[in-house]
Amino acid sequence: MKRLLSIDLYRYKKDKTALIGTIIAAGMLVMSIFMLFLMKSFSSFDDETFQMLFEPRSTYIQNLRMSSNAGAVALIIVTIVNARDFTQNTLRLKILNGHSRIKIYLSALLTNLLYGIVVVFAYALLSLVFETALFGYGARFTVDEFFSLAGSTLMALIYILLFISIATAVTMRFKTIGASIGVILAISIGEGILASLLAMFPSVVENVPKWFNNALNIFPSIAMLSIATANLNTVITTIIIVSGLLLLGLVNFLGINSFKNSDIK
Amino acid sequence: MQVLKTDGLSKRYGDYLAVNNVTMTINKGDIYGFIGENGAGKTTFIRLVSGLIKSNGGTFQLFEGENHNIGAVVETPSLYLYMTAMENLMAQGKMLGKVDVEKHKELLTLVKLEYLIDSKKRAKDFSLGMKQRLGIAMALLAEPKFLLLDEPMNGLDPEGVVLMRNLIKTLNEQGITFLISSHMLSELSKVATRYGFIHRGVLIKEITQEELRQSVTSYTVVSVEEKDINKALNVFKKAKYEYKEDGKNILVYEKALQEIVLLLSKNNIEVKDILKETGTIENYYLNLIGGLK
Repeated sequence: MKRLLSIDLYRYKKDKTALIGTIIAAGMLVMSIFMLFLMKSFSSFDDETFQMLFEPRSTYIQNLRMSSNAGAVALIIVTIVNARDFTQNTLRLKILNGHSRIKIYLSALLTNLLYGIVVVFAYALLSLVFETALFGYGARFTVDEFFSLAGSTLMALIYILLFISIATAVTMRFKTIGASIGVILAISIGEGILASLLAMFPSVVENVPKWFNNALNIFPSIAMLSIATANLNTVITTIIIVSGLLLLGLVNFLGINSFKNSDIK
Repeated sequence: MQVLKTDGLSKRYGDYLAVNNVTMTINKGDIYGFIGENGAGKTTFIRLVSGLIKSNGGTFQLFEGENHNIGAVVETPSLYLYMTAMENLMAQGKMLGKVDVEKHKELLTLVKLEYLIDSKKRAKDFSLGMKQRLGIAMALLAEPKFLLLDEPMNGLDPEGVVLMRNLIKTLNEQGITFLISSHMLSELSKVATRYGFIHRGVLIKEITQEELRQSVTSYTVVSVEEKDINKALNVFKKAKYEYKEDGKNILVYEKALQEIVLLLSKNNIEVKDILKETGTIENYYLNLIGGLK
C-alpha cells in the first residue's frame, strides 16, 4: 500500500494537470477576492451591509461544496489524473507488479481525497481569511463560534469525501476521461435537480410532515445548504452525518466491487 | 520447470469466445512464439495470464506455484506519457519499492536508450520503437523470470526490429522465458524456440522450432515447354517424386534442384526456368488454418 501511495503521489506531482488545476483554483480565488474588493471600493454599501451580503462564515461553507469553484476544479482534476492511469495503460503495471485490486483502488482513492481536500480547503480557508480581512467576520469569533465552524467543516468534509469517492468510483468503472466526467456531472446535476424538486413540495402541498423536510437532508446539496445557513438541530445534524457516512460507505463498496471484477485493457 | 501451465482457459465476451479452452505449457528457457491472425485471441490470452482480465473458465499456474515476478508489454506499452524515460523508471521503481538510479541507467543502456538518461523529452514524444523498448526496460526492473510481449515488432522500423530481436535473445540467454505474440511470423521464427498456433480462440497446434523446420516443406518450381508438361509429369511419377501441377509449372517437393535438372535432361526435356522455393512458417500457418480466407 505504501508503494502504491508513493507512485500515486508521484503521478500527481509529475502530471501537470494537477498543477494547472491548482493554479486555476488559485486564479479563481484571486479573481473573486478582487471582485469583492472592487465592489467594496466603489459601492455605497457600508461594512454591515457587506457582512450581510457576503457573510464570510456562510461563504466559507459554500466554498466547501463540490459545486463551488475549487470543488468543481478538484473533481475534474481528480477524474483526469485517475483516468489517465487507464488511458495510458499504467494501471496494468500495478497489477503486473502484484498489487491487489483493493489496494490499488484504496491508494487511488486516498491520493484523490488528499488532492481534493487540500485544494477545496485551501480555497475556502484563504477565501475566509481574505473576506474577513476585507469586511470583518461579522459575529464575534468566540470559542463557541470556532467549535461551531469546526463542526460545520467536519460535516462538509463528509460531502467532499463523498464526491471525490464518487469521482474515483466512476473513473475506475468507466476508465475514460470523457465518460467519467459526463457521469459525474450527471450525478451532481441529477442530485441537485431531484433535491430541488423535492424541496419545493412543502410550498405546493399542504400539511407536509416535518420529518419530510428533515429527511431532505439526505441529499448532499440540501445538507450543505443547511450547514452553510447554520440551519441545524440535533435531528438534522444526525441525518446529515449518518446519511453522509452511509452514502460514503456505499459508494466505496460499489466502487471497489466493480473494480475488483472489471477487465483491464 | 513449467513457467506457465494453463488448463482449459477460456474467455468469453458476450456470445464471442475469444479464448476457447486453451491448454498450454511453457517451460523455463522457452521463447514461445504465439501465432495467430488479428483477433485470434493472442492478446486476450496474454491479458488472462497477466491477471489483467478474469477468465470464464479453466485455470492457469505460473512457476508451478512459486512466487516470481512476471513482466508484460501488452499492445501499447504502459508508460506515463507525461514523464521522461528516467521518471518512468523511477515511477516503476517506486511501485516495486526499489528506486535505484544506477539500475535505471543500466536498463536504458541495455535497451539501447542510453541517450535518454539525461533527456527531458517526455514519453509522449517517443517513437513507437522507443516506447516498446522503454516498456521492456520498465518490465525488466521487476527482474521478471517470465516476460510476455504482445506484438513487440509491430510498427518498428528495420533497425528497431533488429534491436528488439537481439534484446530478446540477450535476455533469454540471461534466463528469462518469453511468450511473444506476433503475426510477423518470419520475424518471430528468428527468435522462437517453440510455437503455439491459435485460431479463433482455439490453440490448434504446439510445435518446437525443430519440428517446425522439418514440417515446413520446400519445393522447386519447374517450368518446361507446354508440349513437354505431360512428359515431365510422367518422368516425375516414374521417379516417385512428390509433385503437383500448378498451371504452366510443376511444383516438385523436397528434391535438390540439380537432381531435378539432371533427371529432366536425361529424358530430353528442356527446362525453361527452375526456381527453388523454401518453405515458410507463413505457408505452414496457412496450411494449418486451411488456407487464405
